[in-house]
Amino acid sequence: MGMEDCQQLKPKKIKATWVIVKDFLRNHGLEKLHIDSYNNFINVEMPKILEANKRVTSDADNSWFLEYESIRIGAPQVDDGLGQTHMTTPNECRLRNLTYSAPILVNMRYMQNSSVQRKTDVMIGRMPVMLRSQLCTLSGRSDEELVRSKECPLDPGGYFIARGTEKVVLMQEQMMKNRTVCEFNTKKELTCFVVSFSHDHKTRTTVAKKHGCYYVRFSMFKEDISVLVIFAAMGIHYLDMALGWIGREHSTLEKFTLSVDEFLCLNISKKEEALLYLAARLKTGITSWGGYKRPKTAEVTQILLGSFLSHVPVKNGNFDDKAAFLSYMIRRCILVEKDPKMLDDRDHFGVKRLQLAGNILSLVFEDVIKSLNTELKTRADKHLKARARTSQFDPTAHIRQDKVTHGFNYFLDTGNLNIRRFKVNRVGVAQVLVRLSYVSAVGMMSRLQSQFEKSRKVSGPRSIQASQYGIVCPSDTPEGEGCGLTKNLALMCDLTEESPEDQVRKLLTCVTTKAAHEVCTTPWTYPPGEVYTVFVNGSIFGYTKDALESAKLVRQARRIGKIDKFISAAVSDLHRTVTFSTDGGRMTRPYFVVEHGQLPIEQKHVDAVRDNLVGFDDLVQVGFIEYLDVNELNDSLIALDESELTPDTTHMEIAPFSILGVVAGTIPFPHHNQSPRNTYQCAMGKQAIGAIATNQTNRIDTVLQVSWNPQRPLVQSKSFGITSFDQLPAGQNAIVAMMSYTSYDIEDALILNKASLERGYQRATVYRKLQTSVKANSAGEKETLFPARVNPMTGLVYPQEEKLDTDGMIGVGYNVEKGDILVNKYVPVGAQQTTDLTVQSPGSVMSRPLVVDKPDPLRFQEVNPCHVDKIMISQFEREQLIKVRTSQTRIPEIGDKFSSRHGQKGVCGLIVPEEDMPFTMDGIRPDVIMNPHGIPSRMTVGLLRELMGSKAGALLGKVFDGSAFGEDRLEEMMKILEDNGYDKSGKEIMIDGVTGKILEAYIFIGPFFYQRLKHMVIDKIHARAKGPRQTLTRQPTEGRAHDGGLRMGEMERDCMIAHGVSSLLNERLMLASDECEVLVCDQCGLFTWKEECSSCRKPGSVSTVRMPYACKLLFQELISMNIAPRMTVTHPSE
Amino acid sequence: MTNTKRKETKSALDPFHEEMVVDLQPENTLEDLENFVKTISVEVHDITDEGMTMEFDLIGVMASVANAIRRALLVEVPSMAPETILLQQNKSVMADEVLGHRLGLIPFKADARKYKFRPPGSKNDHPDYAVLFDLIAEAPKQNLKTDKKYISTTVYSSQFKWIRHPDAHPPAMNDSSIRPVSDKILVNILRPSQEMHLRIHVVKGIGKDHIKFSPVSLASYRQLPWIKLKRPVDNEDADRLKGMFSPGVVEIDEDKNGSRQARIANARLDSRSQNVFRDPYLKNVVEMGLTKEHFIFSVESIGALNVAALVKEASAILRDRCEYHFLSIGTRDAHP
Repeated sequence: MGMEDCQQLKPKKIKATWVIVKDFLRNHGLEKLHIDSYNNFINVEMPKILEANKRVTSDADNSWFLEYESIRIGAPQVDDGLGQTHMTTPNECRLRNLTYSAPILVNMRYMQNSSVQRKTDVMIGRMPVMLRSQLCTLSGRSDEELVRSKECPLDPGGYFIARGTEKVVLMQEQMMKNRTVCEFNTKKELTCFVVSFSHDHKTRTTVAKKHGCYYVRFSMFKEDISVLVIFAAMGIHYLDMALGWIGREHSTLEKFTLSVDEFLCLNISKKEEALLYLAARLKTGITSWGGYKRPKTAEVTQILLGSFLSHVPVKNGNFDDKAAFLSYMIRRCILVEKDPKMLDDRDHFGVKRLQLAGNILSLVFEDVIKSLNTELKTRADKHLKARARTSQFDPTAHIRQDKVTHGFNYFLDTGNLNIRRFKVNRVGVAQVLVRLSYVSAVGMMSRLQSQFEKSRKVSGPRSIQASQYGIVCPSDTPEGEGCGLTKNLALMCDLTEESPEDQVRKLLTCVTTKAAHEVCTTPWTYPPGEVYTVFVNGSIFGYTKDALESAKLVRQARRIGKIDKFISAAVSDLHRTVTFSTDGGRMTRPYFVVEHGQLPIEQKHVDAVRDNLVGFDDLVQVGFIEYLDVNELNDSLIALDESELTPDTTHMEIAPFSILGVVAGTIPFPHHNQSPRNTYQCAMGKQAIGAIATNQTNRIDTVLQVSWNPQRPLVQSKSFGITSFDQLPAGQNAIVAMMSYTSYDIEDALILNKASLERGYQRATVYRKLQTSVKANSAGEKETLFPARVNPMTGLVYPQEEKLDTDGMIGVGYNVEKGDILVNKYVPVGAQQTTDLTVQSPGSVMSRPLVVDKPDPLRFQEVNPCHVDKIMISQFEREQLIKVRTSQTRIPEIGDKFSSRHGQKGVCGLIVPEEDMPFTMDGIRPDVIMNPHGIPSRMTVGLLRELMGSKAGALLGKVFDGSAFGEDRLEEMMKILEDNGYDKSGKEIMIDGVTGKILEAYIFIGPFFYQRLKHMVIDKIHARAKGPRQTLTRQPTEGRAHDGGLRMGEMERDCMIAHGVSSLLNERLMLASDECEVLVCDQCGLFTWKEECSSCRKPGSVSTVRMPYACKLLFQELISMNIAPRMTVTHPSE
Repeated sequence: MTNTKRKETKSALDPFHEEMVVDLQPENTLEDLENFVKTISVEVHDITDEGMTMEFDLIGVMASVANAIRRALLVEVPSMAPETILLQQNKSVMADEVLGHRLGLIPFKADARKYKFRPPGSKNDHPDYAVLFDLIAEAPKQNLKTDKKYISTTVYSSQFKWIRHPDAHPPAMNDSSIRPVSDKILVNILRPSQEMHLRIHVVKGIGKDHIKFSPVSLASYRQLPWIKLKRPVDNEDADRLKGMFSPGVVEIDEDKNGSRQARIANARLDSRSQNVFRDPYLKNVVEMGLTKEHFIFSVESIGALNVAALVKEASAILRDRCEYHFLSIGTRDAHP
């Protein structure tokens, strides 16, 4: 088909554009963000950091030096102790509790014997390797190869393995650097501040308005400084220049006159005077770098040159750019006063940047390499200072590899990013990858953490922002304290990589922009509404009258591929700015380009993508698709579909369903549901039991819940298939009747068919890990395993050891109960520590005769019996690691939790024999009966639609599409039902299985996807009559794990009081808890323990008092603090 | 207005209302009962799949009687199913307990009438109680390092081998027809070098205990629908009408003039959808309902016995129960 044919088809209709999403996710999926970031760190950031810290010199010997020349990372390997290394795979690391890491190798030269020595591939430490990154052994492997190395081909990668646990470094949401924010601070002052980042400084400069004047607030000055003093100190004359940048229009000048008056009162006319003024206000203790003293004025100049607005460079001592930036900040303050709309929104996503694993690791690496160098320096100093050098100083022997390794490992193990050097202290950055289901693992890769404190009750950062459109999933956020702070990226969100801003700068010279110094001196100054300030990455590039022109220029260049695809241009008419960004970590999203109300892309291109002839990146290359970041998004007109195209339209959505994230993408018909229901489902979908990964049988997780018969849903959204959830599903299609039955289904309870359960509906296995290690103590005495012992008295094997094999470990396949020994380990104790508890080791003949060992077995502690499924033994250094995997079959029972895909959860209320179940005219008995009362108030229309779609789909043998905003039509489903002789409403006549009579209502019935959630009664059921008590208070312990009591709390107590049952109250609170008897002296009212009072020593009557032990404890603690709680004792008989 | 409308709809179909057929009051004489029994009839409608599927009409009884037969068929007629397994080797990826459950659900062709229930604590493989089958499957070995693709081996139910019990003397024990109901039931899929070696005991049981013992896959009934057209429906209306019922319910006759008229060809096939009542015109034309005390039974056997035998068994179970209750009532009368 030629071009002519295509154009004849008007209006042209582009269909199935979702294949582009599919292709996009293949190369840019959310987990790829992590991987790309890590690769970027390895390839770009790490050499850069090394370059910046390449040289180590010594104060003791000026000729000595050490210089790193290059850096590379080797292949992932494991040091098995004893100096042996071998290549490793992620699976080995997971099983053997190792860290998946690779050696960091540097080439270096250094001075030795007054000649330069070279050494290549010196290991300076180990770097954790991200799975599926370029360093990983899995990268570039085919699916079959992955299976051979016991990996799941569907696993997203993008996480680390630290000591056998999978750790994800969550994306961190941060404020953009170098951007001015104009707002009212907590003291209700109007301020405009900027946090400037340069390579060595991070400073905050604030312009604040106080009683009509403008001041600069800067951490190095003791007090607020009038802005004009700063200008004067910079050598900028305010009348000639500063006012040119601030603006000479009347309304602006008016606001500024007070500041000018104040400045004139200060009597500062020369630069030197201003510097002196500032020097007097310098904070004490601020000494400049270099160590030697300077005059204070020089100090001030240095501050102004360097840390003050440090992101604006000063060329040849020319302060123009800095002054212009300061002026811009003042102008912002002035404008906000006139128009509150000009206030900045901190929560706007255009000012947010994301920090990924690579960025965070580069922070760690920089810190670690700096410490390494300091360490080397001090060692060199010490060594070279020594008068009599015994040997030549060999720096390679002094490289602390463990420090580097530990730096990374500490971060991954604890998840805490704690770098004093950069004043970073964050917790929970690296988190354990949740493997409850495949959805939860993939969902975690797209998680976004915000810097706000979770406990703060603020609504601003929590509520959804219009600027998050297409970037953040509107549904997927937790409930409760993390609500709105923990977010998830939308399906098509991509992150920018940093590109050189010279590309933009060069282009902009083509447009008439004027630099700062040109603006203030020429009459071409702020005529209101004419001139736009041009920003490139937060600093002022110049001023222009052709804002649109300059933006268009950059956009065109980007579209034809002349400059980086991620460079953005945004014009703000409100702020009169043109913003160009080239920095990394911006959130972008691809859109179809629209030109003159027409889509340049055609159906044949989409088809080519579908047929894998063309990729997403090719479409970007030729300019059919382009990336818009949040700022540019605000400056665009985007059509949702072709019917909305107008001549002004700039872009069109590729597939509207991609505004949702991966987890929300699993919901069918989400746009028919009440919004919070989708949010609930996002939280619940992660708890559904299904298939975790295709290598789940090889894994030994702490807890692993696996469904026996996971099924693909009959109604799926497009993103469900795109994200491979259909290959590792979590749930089963059940025939659901929506009716009220037996009243055991009130309050969201479900009724299950007994026969369905017997046929295997929602059956699951729970695997658990128990582990122990067999090691040697420092004296070299080894822990040992022994087989079962025979009780010499009875001649029988001790019952708890019955199931042990001859190797001292439990046999695979045994059913184990509480108290059974899984690994019969004995710990050696020195002869002097021998106590009565120790046992003569049964195997004394086998290894070391006459050694006394203490038993330290690994016992099975669960209440519910399990089967031993697998035992793994691994050797690491001198330690033996033993992992035991137990399995337990879980048939659904009353009290287990289930959920639909629409936030409709419920527990099983009754299991009904099949013959009692109602049946349809076809003889179909439902698997699940769901109460319809849950529907009207929750408004989950998507649920009803899913049932219709499933029913029609089952009749046709087809999976129906339930994608958001572009689903299969309901009319279509109804037609199918009607054609097959069913009522098109989905309702049917049913007959009661108990009476055999027709039920007097039409029942909405059909297949429906149900999930079983991980919460099961058997894990929670708990009761106690008597049991353990706490030692301190003698009150019953708390919680199921400690066989604790059930607390009768304050509110329950209130009920008792209201009911007037004082004896019951007494029994619950004292008798059943911590009653104790104490002796109290009648005279002094203090405790005693004998007939004669121990405190007042007066012989007299002593009474026995019953009180809670906690009360007695309190009194004693008070007494220990010299407070005497005296009890007045009266005897009822008196 | 809406009220009257709703009433109209309800009276037009009213499938829920049911009347008692025979008033079985205590004062009824034996004669009444005999007359009542005479009114009951069974019409076999359709037997397919070598008697394994049957549709028959039960006319002249109350719903509870029909339901009793259905319930008995479903969970009270005994059948044979695997109950215990001796698992010697299972190297497949399928966990032992999953495999066990899967094997349990495989239906076997064995006449449960010839066996006894296995009493608890008795010998597992006693020929009176259990039929034994061996399943030995081994996947061919493959060089896992050099071979590019693993070849999967599928294990089907045809691989079950019936083990003749040495002590078996009744002729039934030598019945060579004892085998899985179908040879094409997928049991497991093995990778190279994996193997399964197990023996199952197929025993007699009832569906109440576990649904694997249920002898039927479908046992249900519905009432015979009737449909009447109050006035002729022709041409486009006829087409529309046809589409609103299950296939085959409405046929269209074409006369010489080329005008087409709808005819209720077979109301029996209708699924009692309400589609027609959503049509503003046709809803006033059609009248429909369910015939009282006329039940169309559909029964599908799992495959061990044919439906006729199963229904007979079910009836026998019901009769035995009635006898039991009758006797217990009688005893009470005798000794007040």
